[in-house]
Amino acid sequence: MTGALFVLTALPLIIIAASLAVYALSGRRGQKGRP
Amino acid sequence: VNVYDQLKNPAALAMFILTLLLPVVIGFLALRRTRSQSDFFVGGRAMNKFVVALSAVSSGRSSWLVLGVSGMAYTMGVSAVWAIVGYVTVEMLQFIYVGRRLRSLSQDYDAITLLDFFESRFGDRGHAIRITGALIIGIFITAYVAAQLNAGAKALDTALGIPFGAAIVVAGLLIMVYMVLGGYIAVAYNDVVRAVIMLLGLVIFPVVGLVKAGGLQALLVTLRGLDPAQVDPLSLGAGALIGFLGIGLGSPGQPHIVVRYMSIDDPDKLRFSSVVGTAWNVALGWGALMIGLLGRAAVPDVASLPDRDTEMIYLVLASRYFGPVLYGLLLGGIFAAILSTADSQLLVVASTLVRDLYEKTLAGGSGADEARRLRLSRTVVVLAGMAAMVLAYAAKDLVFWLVLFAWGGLGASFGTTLIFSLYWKRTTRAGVMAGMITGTLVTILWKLFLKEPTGVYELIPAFLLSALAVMVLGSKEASARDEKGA
Repeated sequence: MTGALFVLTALPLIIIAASLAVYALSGRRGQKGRP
Repeated sequence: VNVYDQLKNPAALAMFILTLLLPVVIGFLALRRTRSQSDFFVGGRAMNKFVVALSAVSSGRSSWLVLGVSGMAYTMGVSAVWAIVGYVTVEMLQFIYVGRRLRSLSQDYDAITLLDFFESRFGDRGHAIRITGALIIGIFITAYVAAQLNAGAKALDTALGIPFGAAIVVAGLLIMVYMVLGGYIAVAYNDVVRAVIMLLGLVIFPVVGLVKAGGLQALLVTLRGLDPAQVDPLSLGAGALIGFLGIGLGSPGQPHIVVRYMSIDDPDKLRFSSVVGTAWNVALGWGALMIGLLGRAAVPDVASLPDRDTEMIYLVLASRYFGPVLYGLLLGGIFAAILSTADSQLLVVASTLVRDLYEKTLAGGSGADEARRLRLSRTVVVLAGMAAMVLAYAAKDLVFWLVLFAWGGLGASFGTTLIFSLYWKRTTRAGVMAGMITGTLVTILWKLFLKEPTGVYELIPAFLLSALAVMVLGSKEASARDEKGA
């Protein structure tokens, strides 16, 4: 049941946190490549 | 039990019809902003980052999510979560890593369709990529639209007692009216309005359900009492787990999703859209999952569902929890999901016919003036819509047969070729052709002959072999034009 609780509550939060991380990382790299 | 009985209540009916007619109002509002063919098919590349985020996600989520995933969670329990995780993760990344570059390059090439992009990128003067791609889009997406209309009509038939044939016409007209008026802009803003309706159906609804069930912990205890496998996230086995995650490989190849990235006003804003879109994807996905779980706890016996159909759980639960007004809105939520996919796909079919086949191939360029091109685009939306309606009515079995391949076929044909075209400079015109054809054929052949014996979802081998085909035909030198640099 711990597994079920994890995928229902923590996993969605982890994915949203990951999207914030990708947001931050992609910005830095994008800036560097700019003319 | 007819779960639609509650719709006989005038308040429920009024709310339901409101959700169906609201989009037409948006169509009139979008009419003023639709002045060119580029406005009509990609919103003039001037769409807001928030609209793009919601639209890219809602267009990708059809009745498969609302009815299919909730039904899957009803049957399998929490392990159905993996059907969502794959595509949510892939779409989070593709907003930025596919979308940003595609948007930049499509402006350089003045591309308003995915096939415009391929043709310009590889200087394909013979139009081989365009014609092959148009055929693949024609087969899969037309069937996809027809299937959405079919599903919508079936629900209208059951809900309101409208005869099936008439219901197809109603469902078709419901999207065609605002599409003719406002094209892409109307479709995208309607995705936002429908997002609000879906928010109610897939977020508020499960939250209310959880409160009624006494919280998540209590729900899980009930489910474990029914069957311990229900609360085991890994009960599905490794093969099914990979297949579920593999659904995500289909996302980058859906023309109706990637055209959303091409429509944003500034490529860099896709980073913001990725965050909003991911949050929205998570909310919808976990909402559908939760409805299935709540449904299993509330109605443990499949036999007490209408026609023993697990996909009816959304409606059964909605009619138990809510009064007429909310029930009418929740039923509207299903249509919102179905029609927001159907309209985006119909617009892709129309742009393929007008731009890719007629203007660029048959008429050899686009010499006609803007007003004529816009008028032609509107006419073709009507014609394509009528064709989809006829197909939805006449060739029902064929349509569903094709839809079984559609998500996978498009993913394996366009997903691989698009990613390689954007990131691998040695990609060639021949490689793209081979990748598209391999993706389509392997999807169909695997589904027909190898799916059963292996248990592997057809998209996975089709995607890998399509990628291999692109690489084998790669040039030794850089081939794709890339004036932007890396």
